[in-house]
Amino acid sequence: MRVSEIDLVSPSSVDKCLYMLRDHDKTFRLLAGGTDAIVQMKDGKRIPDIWINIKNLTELRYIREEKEGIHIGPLTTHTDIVKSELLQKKADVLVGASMEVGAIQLQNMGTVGGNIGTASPAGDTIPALFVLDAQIELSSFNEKRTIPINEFFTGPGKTVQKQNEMITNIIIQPQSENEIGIFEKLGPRKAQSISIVNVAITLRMGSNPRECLEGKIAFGSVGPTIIRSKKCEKMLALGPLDDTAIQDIAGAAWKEVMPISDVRASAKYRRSMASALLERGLYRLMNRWDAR
Amino acid sequence: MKTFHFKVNGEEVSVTCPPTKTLLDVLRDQLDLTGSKECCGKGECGSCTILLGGDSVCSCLVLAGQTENVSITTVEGIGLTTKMDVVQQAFSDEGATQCGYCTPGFIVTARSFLNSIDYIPTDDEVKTALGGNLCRCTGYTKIIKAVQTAAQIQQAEKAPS
Amino acid sequence: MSKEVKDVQKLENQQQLKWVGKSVKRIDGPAKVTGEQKYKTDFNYPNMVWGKVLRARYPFAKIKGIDTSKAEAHPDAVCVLTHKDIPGFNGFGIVTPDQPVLCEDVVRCTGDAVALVAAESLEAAEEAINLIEVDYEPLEPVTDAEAAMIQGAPQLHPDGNIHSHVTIVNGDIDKGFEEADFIFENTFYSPRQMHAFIETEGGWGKLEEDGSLTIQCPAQYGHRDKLQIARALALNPERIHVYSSPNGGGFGGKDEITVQIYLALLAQNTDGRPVKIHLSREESVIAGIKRHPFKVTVKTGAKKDGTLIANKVRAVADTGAYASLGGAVTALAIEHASGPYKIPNVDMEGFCVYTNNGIAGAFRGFGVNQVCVGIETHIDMLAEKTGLDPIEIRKKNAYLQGDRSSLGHVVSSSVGTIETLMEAEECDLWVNRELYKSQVSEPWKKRGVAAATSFHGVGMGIGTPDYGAATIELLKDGRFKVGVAIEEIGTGNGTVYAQVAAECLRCEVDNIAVIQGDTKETLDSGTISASRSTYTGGRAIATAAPNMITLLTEAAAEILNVSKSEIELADNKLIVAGDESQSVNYKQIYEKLYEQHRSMRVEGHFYLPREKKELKNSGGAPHHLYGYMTHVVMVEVDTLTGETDVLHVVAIPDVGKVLNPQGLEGQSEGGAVMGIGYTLYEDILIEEGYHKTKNFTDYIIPTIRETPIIETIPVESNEKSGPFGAKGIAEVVMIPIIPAIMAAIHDATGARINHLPATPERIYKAIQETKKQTLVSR
Repeated sequence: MRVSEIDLVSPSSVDKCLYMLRDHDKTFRLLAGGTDAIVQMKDGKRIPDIWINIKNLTELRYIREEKEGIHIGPLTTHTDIVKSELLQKKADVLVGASMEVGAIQLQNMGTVGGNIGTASPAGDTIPALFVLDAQIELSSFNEKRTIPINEFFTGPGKTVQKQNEMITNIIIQPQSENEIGIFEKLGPRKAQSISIVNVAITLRMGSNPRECLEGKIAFGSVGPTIIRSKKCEKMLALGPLDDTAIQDIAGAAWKEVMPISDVRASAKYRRSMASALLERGLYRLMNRWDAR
Repeated sequence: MKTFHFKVNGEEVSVTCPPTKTLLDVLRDQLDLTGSKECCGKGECGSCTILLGGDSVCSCLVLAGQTENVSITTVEGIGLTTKMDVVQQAFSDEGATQCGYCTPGFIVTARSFLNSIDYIPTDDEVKTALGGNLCRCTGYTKIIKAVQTAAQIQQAEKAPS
Repeated sequence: MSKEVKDVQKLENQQQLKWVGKSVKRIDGPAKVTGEQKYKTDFNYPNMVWGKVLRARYPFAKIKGIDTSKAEAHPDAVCVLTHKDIPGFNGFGIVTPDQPVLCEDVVRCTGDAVALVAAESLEAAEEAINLIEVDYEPLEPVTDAEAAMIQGAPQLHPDGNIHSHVTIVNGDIDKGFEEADFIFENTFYSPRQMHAFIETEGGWGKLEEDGSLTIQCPAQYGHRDKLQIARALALNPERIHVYSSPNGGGFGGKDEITVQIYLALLAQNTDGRPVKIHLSREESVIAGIKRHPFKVTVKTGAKKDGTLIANKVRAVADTGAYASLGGAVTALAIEHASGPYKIPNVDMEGFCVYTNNGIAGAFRGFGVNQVCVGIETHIDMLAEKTGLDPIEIRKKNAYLQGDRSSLGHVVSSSVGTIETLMEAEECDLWVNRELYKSQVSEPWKKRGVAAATSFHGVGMGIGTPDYGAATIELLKDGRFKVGVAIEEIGTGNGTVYAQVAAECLRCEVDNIAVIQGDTKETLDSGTISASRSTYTGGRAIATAAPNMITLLTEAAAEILNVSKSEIELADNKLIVAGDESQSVNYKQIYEKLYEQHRSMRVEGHFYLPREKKELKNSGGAPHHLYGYMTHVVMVEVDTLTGETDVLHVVAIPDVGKVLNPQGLEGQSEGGAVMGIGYTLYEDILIEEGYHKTKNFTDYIIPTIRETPIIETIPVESNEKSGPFGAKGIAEVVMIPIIPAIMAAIHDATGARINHLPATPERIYKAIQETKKQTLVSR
């Protein structure tokens, strides 16, 4: 099909959008920020019959705190996240990750729902959503289901989302007062870079110096999907997070990841960097905690 | 082919084209607004940056079909040689343009940044704001200076006399 | 010598200059910041067609047949062309025209062009291109330059895979090494850097009603492009009009033919409809020339007191499938491989070798970037071994004006190396380096400070025509039109031309209109390359100016009814000497000359001075003139990850004379950041002849967030042959920063990276190996 012959429709509501998605005769793709979808179209990949432009569905662009967590609309842009005072206070790890997406233009365009839907192993917001225990709400015309983020991705570019579904809500667990988070990224340069390795960390701190009660660690770009580093997480609460403890925990990380070699880096380097970024992240977090 | 109505630099326009034509191509080929450039076509370089409802975006990743009723500002809408914006004047005065092909994108991004602040930004703040625009000639030093100079002039102009 | 020439020379010597030496704002600034500047790729014509090039499917293959019938049957195709449709010589190349315009029997890289299509839309052109069926017989690609040199390797060209072999020998290398107290030997690998100009290759071709051809295409030498087009089309060059300015960046990447011949061929087959080609970034990556990757082995001998006494260099350059300027790049590399020093015994050789790895050609620095790292690294190793100061060692070995260089020739032009090194020694970053190094931002980061020096020839060297020409025309409104063919590619040479003209003619810069890159309006003035444009164009204008002053003086004398000798040039007018009340302005002179039907256009020509004797088998060495430069840099290395930031750069060029401080800083800052990109980030990866790096997603050039603090401290050595004492600096500004960063990484971490770019992964690995070595040595 010629690109110039692809149609584009802009439904005026989520319901109308879901109604369109019922149609199995044609291939549809949802178009939100366009930062991945349009690039793929230009590369001749995943070209649909019809684009469903959902950019204007403002009903899906929100950040609000409710009883069961903070609700983030899938059309929330990275810029919205960076500017949100609520998230700065209660999900600093996600704010940090969103600041690392591309640069300003892509942060203005790209959406959190798009980042999830694209399911790139290097997607910057995804590890952050992992450590915030995100729940992804998928809606079809007749149904609604909620998937924990650790069950959402099935491989690079692959998710449990069906052709007739769209992401309609993301619920994250807010960080408590004594919880701190950080997103560490290693890219080839500081702006406009695709992660070689990234890691999102949250720690719940106790009242003793550098006492960590529990923590979560999620690595990106070191496997087909995000990897939660359960062994390292367990080590976090074994004693105060002094420099030696940090080095020990970081030293264990490389065993939990399974990266590949590609044009950006070798698998061996990626393994080492999983440890390095965890070490750097924990140092920085502890410095912040000490200085609070 | 479909027809789309939107505002460019304050003027209502209607354009007939395939809905998948990029906004960048519409601006350049159909509206003769060639200040916005294509350099990578993939959102990596910022040469095609325009303001879409006030936000800086890459017009190479926006489709014509998404433009219905939106309001767009291109570099030409920020200022022309007959009446340059302070950002443009500062870039010209500080030598922040060399080959000039990336410059319109920088002007639009810088304008958007200066719209959002009311102080003179630090080097690091300018760097964060303009990280999405690639330049191969200048080494960026004079671009940082130009944005700060523009902010200074903007401050002075706003200050109550 | 005429009075007018003396006047201009006097002007050049006097201290009170009105325009030269001032930060005159770029004349093209306002048009560029508003988007009003039209580049060649910005034009649009209502009855246009789109052109598209079919590139080779394999890096090396025989073509057994090409079937274009399906493409021709495409309803929107206007024409489909193959090698059969080339009226003239099917080849191009600046020195050796070994690159087919359209391949006939063999393809040698994936950038090779096999066929052309013009169609009603870009989409239709792409479809038609995909309908062309080429029957290939793939061959084993040659992917390593050294392997290509071995006898029995598949041959890319009839004369073998070694395109050129150059040597420079001086003194007795064996004796030199015998006398040495220290010998250092290392091998260095350099990246396939991409120019990454923001405007990709593109433009327009149009067959005019009178049968002439108009080509609008950003390029670095329109007059030569015209000849290359004419050769392929078997057309009188005078029937071809090339517009080649301005460029959205060049850096050498638009020196060779890009799409001009395709545009010309298509234009001849579209019934007068204008045809446009504009390469996507992806196609530009594959088809555009790159910097030659080099493998350089350097062996340096030195004495305990820091004297360099022997340097042996073997460089192998991968020119890819075609020569372009590969021979010249290799020759320049060898000429510069022993640095701006007086090493008595040198033995240097360079090979330029064909492979199936894309195509390499001209790029800012032209071979010197690749070789300067050897001698500079070895000087730092010598400093480490002897405890001598690295800058002192450089000062001790640097040649002065009048000294014999390592090449054995007496350097008679200006030499500023020592002055740049003295500035380096005194700059704050160097003086207080231990303090700055201690101010790391986080405990696992380490800082290093280092300096390096280098040089770069100005102009073409021996054996290549090298001349400049300028025209000055008096316009109706009393302004002057200054024509210099040398294109604007971003450097701001047009502004410098206006400054030089305004200074010589004593008028306002605003009263100068500069025309560049137009083969009808301007005389052939050579390339915008080889750091020559300010020097050559400026000198040509300064040579034309006295002719204009003669013309003005004659007319003024007639108008004022006095003898010519009584007329004096004043600001914006001519006066009777000693009597300002009797004056005529340039507009009045125009009217007078117009009445008399006299020509109002003068010319000035300038042949670049050159050395009399070429070093045997050197490929054009030595140059008469060089620009010299020292960089001091500070880096910070994250030892956990290998990520490296260049934090501070002090750039100290020997510029002869600063013509425009702002323009000079712009070159210096841009060169520094391009040098940072070369050293830390950039490389086009090719495996088995196929590009692994495809676009700007993976080709990493520095963003504004990577830019350091850059100070520029120019040194003025006053080059007598240059305009107002100036010489070229556009290339040298990105050279010494390369070894300086490498040395600073070593200073910070103890690790030496001899394989560039020094990516975080390579630096991390080198740090780990350094740690291991330290453990072993304990």
